[in-house]
Amino acid sequence: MSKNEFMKELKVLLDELPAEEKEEALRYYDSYFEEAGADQEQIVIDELGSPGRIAAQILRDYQAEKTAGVYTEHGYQEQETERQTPVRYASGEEKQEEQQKTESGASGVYVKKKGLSGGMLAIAIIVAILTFPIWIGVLGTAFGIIMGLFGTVIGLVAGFGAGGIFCILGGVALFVIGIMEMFTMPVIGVAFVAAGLLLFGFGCLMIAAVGGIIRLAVWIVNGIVKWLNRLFHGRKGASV
Amino acid sequence: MVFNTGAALLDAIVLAAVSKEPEGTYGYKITQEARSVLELSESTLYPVLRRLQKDNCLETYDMEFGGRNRRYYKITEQGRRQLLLYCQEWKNYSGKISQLFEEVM
Repeated sequence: MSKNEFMKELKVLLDELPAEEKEEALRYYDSYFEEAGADQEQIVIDELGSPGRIAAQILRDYQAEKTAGVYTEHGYQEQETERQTPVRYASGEEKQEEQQKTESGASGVYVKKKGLSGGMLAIAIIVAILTFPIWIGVLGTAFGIIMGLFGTVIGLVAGFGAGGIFCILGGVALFVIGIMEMFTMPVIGVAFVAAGLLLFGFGCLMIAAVGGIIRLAVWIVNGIVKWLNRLFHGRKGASV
Repeated sequence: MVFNTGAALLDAIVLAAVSKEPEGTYGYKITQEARSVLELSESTLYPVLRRLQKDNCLETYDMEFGGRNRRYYKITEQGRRQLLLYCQEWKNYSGKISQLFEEVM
């Protein structure tokens, strides 16, 4: 982490403070870096600790202004009783109590947030593992359907394409044979020419169908993608 | 450090460090001073300085140094009285403990 990253993070974390308070805190840490010198940057960052910790202290200090919180070298500590005298001696019991409070409370806002997201992540992982047999089946089925559709489209395109090309070639061949036959046996020649034309036309239709199938496939895939999109992000998108 | 430094002692140390300089001193130097006498695990004194300032024990002023403004902390009359109280209390407190320890050693 660099000084700039440190300051940037601190700035974000102190966002809820009034502008004046925030400015003053940022200024303090900025000039602290300056006084230490650029070559001490890393040492200062190590000494200061994480921006989250510093921000948590400052925020708690600010919020607990009226409730007599104290700040010791172990961090900020809250107190239930107000300080009646400027000097107070903590008895053994008080000290223990304080330390417990430190352990449970001084971790601050920043750490708390982090812990929560970590817990959520752990739960998510556990749920994912426990439901493995379910979602692996669902995933497999979905994969199968998609692959099946893909295969069908390829098969249809290949079949119609090849059929169309053969029909056209056959049609042309029959037509040529028919023309040649016309000179010897006109009736058969005409029949061949007619069959050739018919086959040619049929081939053209098949080739046209290939275009149609491809367009249909693209349309279906688009539809599925849109539907999935709406399924996963739709609610957010709809409310905006 | 084995012994806890309470809020009052930390206040006293900061007040003492600041009062050593009649013209006031700045955050980095106060931190170095405090660190020379105790381990600051949470080595930022900003909240302490801020609170002492709110309690009118310290006052601040800005002065140009090396091409930029440096914030100086200076002890107030009230701060001086507070420090005096801390010093007397500390003498009393540490004296009794030292005496007890003396008997053990």
